[in-house]
Amino acid sequence: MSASEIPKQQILERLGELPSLPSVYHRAREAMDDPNGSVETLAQIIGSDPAMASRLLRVANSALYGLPAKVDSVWRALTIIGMGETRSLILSTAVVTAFRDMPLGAVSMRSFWEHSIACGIAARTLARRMSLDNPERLYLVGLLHDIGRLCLFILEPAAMSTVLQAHRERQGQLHEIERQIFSTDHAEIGAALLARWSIPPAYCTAAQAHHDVMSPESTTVETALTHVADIIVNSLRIGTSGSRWVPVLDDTAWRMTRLAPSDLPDIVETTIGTTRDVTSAFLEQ
Amino acid sequence: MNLALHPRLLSPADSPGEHSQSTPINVYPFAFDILREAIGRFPACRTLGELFSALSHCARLLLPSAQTAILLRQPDACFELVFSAPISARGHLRNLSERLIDSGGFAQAVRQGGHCIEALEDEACLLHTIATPRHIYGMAIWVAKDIPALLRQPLGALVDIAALSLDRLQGGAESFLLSGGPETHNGGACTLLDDIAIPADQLTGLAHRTHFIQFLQKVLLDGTPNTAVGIILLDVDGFHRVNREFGCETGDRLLRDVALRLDTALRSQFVYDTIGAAECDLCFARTGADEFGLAVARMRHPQRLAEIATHLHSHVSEGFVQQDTKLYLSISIGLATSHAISGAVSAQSLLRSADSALKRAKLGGRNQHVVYESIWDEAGSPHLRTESLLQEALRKDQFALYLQPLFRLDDMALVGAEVLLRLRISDGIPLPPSSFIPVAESTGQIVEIGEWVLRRACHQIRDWNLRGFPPIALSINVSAIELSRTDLSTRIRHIAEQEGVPPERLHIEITETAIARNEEQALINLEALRAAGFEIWIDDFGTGYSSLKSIKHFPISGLKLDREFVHDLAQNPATQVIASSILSMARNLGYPVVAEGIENADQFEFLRQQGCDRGQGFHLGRPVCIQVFENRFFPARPQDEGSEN
Repeated sequence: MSASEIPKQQILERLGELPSLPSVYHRAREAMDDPNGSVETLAQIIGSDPAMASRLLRVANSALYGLPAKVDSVWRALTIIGMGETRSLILSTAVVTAFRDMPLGAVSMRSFWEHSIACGIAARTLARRMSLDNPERLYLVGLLHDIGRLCLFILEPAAMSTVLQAHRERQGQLHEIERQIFSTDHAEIGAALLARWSIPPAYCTAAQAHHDVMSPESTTVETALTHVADIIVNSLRIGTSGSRWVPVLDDTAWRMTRLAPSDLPDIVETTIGTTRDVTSAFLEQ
Repeated sequence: MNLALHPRLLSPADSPGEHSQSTPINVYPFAFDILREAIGRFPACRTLGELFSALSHCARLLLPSAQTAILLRQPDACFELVFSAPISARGHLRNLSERLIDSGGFAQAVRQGGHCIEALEDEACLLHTIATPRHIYGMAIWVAKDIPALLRQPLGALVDIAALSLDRLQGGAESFLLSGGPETHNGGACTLLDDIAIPADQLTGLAHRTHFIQFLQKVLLDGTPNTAVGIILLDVDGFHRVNREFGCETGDRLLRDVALRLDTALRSQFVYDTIGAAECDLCFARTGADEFGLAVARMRHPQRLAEIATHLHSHVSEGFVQQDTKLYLSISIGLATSHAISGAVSAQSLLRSADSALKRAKLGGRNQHVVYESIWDEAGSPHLRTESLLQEALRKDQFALYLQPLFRLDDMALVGAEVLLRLRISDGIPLPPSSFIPVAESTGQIVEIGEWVLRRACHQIRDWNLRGFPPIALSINVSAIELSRTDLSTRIRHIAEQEGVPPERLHIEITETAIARNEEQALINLEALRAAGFEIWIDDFGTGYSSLKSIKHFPISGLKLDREFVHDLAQNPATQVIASSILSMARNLGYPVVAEGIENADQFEFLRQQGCDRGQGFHLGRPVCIQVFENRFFPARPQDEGSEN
């Protein structure tokens, strides 16, 4: 194959072609940023988009939040979950909904989200285990870590097909082959997309560096946890964003989690136990 | 199936400096580690692609900046570049290897018992023959700014280990045939010969049907207690439409995406947990042109296999994108498990069960799955019954030839006969072909039956020759399946020669629909048959697929006007117009026409006046068995006359 390199800039310029987040998300976000905003206003905004509201309720009632009883009003759901989680609930629902009905190629949207959701759950479980503050944000970090791959699948389907084929033939890890073809990789593209969506920088950094924990400026705890969660989920084979092998575990990242191998069985069990239900809450009609 | 390389081998150090700092000091402990890995990993590689990737990764652990090129010796003794890493260096490595061949570097490497080093302007190359004591398979080339002397020996050892694996993969053949040309320039993959090592499908990378069946046979033989073996057959609904509307290239790409997506969806913990099996218990293969098969061994929850079908449906129903076009495919799925089959289970019986479930899924409106139930057997699926019936008929010689006479319409002279097949089962009534030919076509038995008919017809001609009967030609119908086989013309020629029948005594009848099934192969077959002297007639002309094309492109001898344009000739003016246009067109093109299905005097008269050359039909003569045919058309027994002399 002649190396028909596709310049990074060309892909970054085309990010605008991707589906945009629904307007209800932007309005909800304004309401959440408003110091005088209330849960009532937010619930009203979300209720104005019935599709969003019902999807959000399904996710709120899934194993993700483990609510004691079924909730059937948005307002109650937001009250129980709390403002911090509400943010991530609304964003994740908006992102998955925006991309949900786009056909892809060799990797199905379902496999992609299954992998992402599982990674989010694994990252959150790790964070809880480490007793981090606000472990819920790790769910969103994990969920979005591979979003750049979705961009590549949609924007460069033919080139990605070549990349996947080379990966299948064991010519290297998927992100390495991406770099050979695109002069960039899904991590960098994903970070750019998240920045475009004005997602806080910590999330962008984690997406950018989850294969490259060594770079000193990015060795945040989010990055390390995403890296480890990605490896756990890949080795469990829960969905996939295209990779057929488990990436190599970085020692620094592993040490940052301060976990012992004996912690893993519980984490694995929680991840497997939760992912399936959450995936169907996000994807099924 | 699960031969993932050790992660360390898959991700060579990203920064070139990482290992090379330590190389000058003491490389050997590290080199031994890598060689140990290579010894463990290379033999597990199933394909050349995997083997060379593993080789290149091991080499890059020793020399992170190295580019790798692998060239294999072709049957014509040329070296062909089959692998390069990184991919982007392919062009450079190709030029380089050509220069090294020209400069004699290759020859020198072979002479010096394996390796040689060449210093070029700004980089160094290490060449090492990929060879075992018995064969030279090819050449490995490493290119880097500098290749430290200490590393040459470990790199050479890596190649030697790889060569041993080649021995095993290739079974001792001296050269590797590159399938499908060395590379496709139009952005195609630089995939290489993956199907040499195990029977893997070139397009999808999945295993072939043969491997699938072997897997089934093996696991059925193993028979772990309290577990079941199951099959899922998946057929893409109406895939031929994709090929027709978007072209085969898009069709191929789409099929590859479908295969990869299904394969990916199957490699999932959820799948393993649902059916209670491990990854190595699954064998996913391309079992037909647009059919895939999953075999599952040692399954603890066979009753949950149908959930996998639902799972696969949900992955496929999202749709696919090919060149900015969204395509929505559906698949029909048939399932069968060994625990649902009563009695002894063989790979064949399991496949047959899954296949009849698949047929039910198709018949039931596609895009669904159906699980095989043993109760179907007791009810006796007509299809299966006919299939075994045909097998028995072939064995017990229950087929019989019937002949329908063909006449010249001018003078009603007998010019030939169409050979028809009848099946006489025990109750004595001959079954018409329409009741068993479709089954024979779907099971592939048509090939065997076709051969039987041809041989029997040849016997008949020889018999008539011996008895001095007129040398009329016999017309034989060739099915779509036979027509798309590569060995058709050789087989027919061979049988005719063996039986001592001159080709002009056999006319081959084919339909346009049969041609359309695989036009390219059909054309090759027909040209070969025509060149050998057989006449080719288009059967059922006018009703088939894309009518006029066959006249234009195919080496035909004449047309058989379909009965559709004969049966209401007297009543329908439109039919008259069509029939006379076909006749006048054929006349202008110089093709004789046989009218089929002439059932009354009016039709006969009309066709004769319109200049139709020949005809057949109940009005002129029904199909009869050979004895009756001889009695009717060769009444004056020449043999008896002969004995009077």
